[in-house]
Amino acid sequence: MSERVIVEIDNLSKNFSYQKRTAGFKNWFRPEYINVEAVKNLDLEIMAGEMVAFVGPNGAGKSTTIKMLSGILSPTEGKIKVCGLDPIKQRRQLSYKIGCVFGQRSQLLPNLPLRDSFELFGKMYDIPSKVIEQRIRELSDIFSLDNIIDQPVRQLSLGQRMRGEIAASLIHKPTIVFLDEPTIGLDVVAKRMLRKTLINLNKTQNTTIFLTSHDTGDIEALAERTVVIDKGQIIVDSKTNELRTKYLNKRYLKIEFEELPQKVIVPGVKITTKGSVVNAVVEMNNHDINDVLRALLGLGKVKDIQIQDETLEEVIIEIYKSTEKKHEKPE
Amino acid sequence: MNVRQAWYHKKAASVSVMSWSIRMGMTILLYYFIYRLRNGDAVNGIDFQVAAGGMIIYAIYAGSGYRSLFPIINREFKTGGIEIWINKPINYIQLKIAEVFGKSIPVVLGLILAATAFWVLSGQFPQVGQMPLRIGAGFVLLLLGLLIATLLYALVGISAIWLIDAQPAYLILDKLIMIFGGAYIPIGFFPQTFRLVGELLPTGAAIYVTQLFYPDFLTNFPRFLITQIIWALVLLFVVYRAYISASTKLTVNGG
Repeated sequence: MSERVIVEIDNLSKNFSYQKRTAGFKNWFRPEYINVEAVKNLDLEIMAGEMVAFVGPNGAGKSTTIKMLSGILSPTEGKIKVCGLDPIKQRRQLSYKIGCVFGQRSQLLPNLPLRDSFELFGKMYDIPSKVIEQRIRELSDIFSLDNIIDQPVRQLSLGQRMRGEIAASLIHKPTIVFLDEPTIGLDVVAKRMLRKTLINLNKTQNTTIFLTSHDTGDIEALAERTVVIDKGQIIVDSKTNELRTKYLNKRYLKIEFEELPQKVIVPGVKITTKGSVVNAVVEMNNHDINDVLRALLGLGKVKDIQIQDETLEEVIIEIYKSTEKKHEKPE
Repeated sequence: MNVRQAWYHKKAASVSVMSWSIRMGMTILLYYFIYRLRNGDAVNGIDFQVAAGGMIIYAIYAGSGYRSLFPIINREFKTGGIEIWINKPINYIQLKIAEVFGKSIPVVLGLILAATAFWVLSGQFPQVGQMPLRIGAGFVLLLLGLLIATLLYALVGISAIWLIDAQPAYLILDKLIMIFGGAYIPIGFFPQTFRLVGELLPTGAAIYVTQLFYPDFLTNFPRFLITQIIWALVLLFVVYRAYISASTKLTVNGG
């Protein structure tokens, strides 16, 4: 990975307002507006070749940020540089360096074969016809599109279409790709295939990938770095594999005994039993795992034992909850 | 690419050609009976062949699809669908204009074919002089007129960002173009002052080409051309400013 900064966000804010609804005619003449701060004083840097997940609950400001980075929305305040360019003032120049995929919208021509969409986008980016053909072959290999390249887009499955969408966004070899929920609605097999393809793309072509997703599987599989945003502000910016160690609070123990122990009580530990299996949730802040294990293992002869971490989903939920608490605290 | 799309939509294009042909056929038939009641005498200097010719040109003009520019732009601005195009190295408005005209090429060709068939079979082609000159002048007015029409419809489409529901504005624009284009009544039937006011409006300037067979067409051509150039320049500026302003006000999924 090179150490070149590819995205620089400095004190970025985006506000929008909507008219307040009131009874009667008062609002006709003196309308009142409610201001919403979608993104608040955001600072972020992304290096070339990084794979960054931008995570947050609905309405956190993820998509708004991605749309400001790609020149779709104008910031209210702050500065953005993507590939050294201002996304609003230099939108056209920037478009040659970025690729965008919005999971909930299709940019492909629905009634024509996938190949035609690639050709259209190739022409838009001023690529010569011969190079477009060569690029279509390359992308077909990377995204396994050989069987579907001549099929009308509307006849593709969601997973095939999404591979097509991402491949189309790469026709001009962008330096950075913004993916807004690329795996939304895909089944597990299609998700896995898409993730493998994106990793391959990042490794072989050093394409920077900036993605938003609600799927923690995407984050774990793809992102080396995770940025968590809530209420328009960054609350966590960490290496993905360090998220658990930094924010991990619970361990899940599952112990299967030869015989069901008579009484299973470990003070302060939440325990449930099912047959001869005992499940315990250990709050790491309050208990020493050694003490809990010692107490449980003394209950009888053990047949099997499993110790599990919190899932990344639970870690992220914990992060959201901790921010909620901070917001609730009176100043 | 849009022509290829249109080929995929060939059934829709055929239906469009049929509906325009039936509509114009019925109006022409109606005027045929009206002229018969007058024993074939001209109305305000316009005989039946010229009136029918104007209506046929209107049908071909309208078949070019400029009207669908409004619903496309209106929808994409309101739903945020514009986001997939705005980050591409193209001008969004130009792309949409190319899209609607590209898709309507088969419809226009079908209507030209239907019009030719009508003229050949009925023998009602207008008997006017200086045809090559008229066609040349008409072609210039057609191109400038289509530019004005597309800019007007694009402007109303963009206005959705402020008006939320731009449908009433669209209906006013659409009907003005139909009235001054002679879709219902040939503009040559209008009282002189009313006709002049109509011709000075951008909605009238968009569709001078329907007067191609009028006796005074070549006399009026310089005035038509100047009016069109002025409106085209004014609208280019207004649409550009409106587009820039609307782009900064764009909201997509809340943000």
